[in-house]
Amino acid sequence: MARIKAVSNFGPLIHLHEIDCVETLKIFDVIISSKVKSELRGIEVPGVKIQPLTEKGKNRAAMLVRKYGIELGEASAIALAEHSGIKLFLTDDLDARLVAKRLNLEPHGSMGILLRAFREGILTKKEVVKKVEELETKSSLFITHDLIKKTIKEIERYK
Amino acid sequence: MESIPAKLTPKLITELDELVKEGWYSNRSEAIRDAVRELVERKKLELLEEAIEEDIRWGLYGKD
Repeated sequence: MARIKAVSNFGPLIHLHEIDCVETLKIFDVIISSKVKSELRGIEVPGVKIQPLTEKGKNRAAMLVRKYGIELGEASAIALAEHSGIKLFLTDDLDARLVAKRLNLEPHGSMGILLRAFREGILTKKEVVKKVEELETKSSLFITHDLIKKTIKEIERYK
Repeated sequence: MESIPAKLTPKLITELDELVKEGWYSNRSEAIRDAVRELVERKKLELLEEAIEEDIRWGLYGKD
């Protein structure tokens, strides 16, 4: 089956790296902007392709920064998704998520990626529960304990 | 800090002044700042909750 194309922002790459789970990204064909690549500061994420923004894309990113007050990295990722015709936008940033929705992209974050990887058999139920817990305890993702518990409950219910 | 104009009902002003009088805040501005901070934080948590719920639906049951 063809892998789904996705553009990723910095957040999911770093958060999944922090919990040793970047391999879950292999369920997608992930591309990132050069700006997002520079934000990774040398952290290697296997399989991720870097695609520079065109001049038009850079102008679009600058406009998104001005209009919505989001960071340039997030704006460049959104502009890249728009210009590549890719709907799936991976982000853990709540502001970027709202902007992406407004622009008819489909934003999802680290939690969604872990659950999708579980559904596709990359992680077992036991492994995904552990990784979801680690999102709270080992990663820099902003998340609450209640949401971790709620997610685990949903995983346990999944047949 | 910047001043912003805001209108409050007499009831809210009385209640606000009560909080200051009881010593919870040193003045009206401090109380209003705290209320706005709490509002922003609550909204952020609501957005986060919505985002995680969407991720759960998509991750476990989404079509694409």
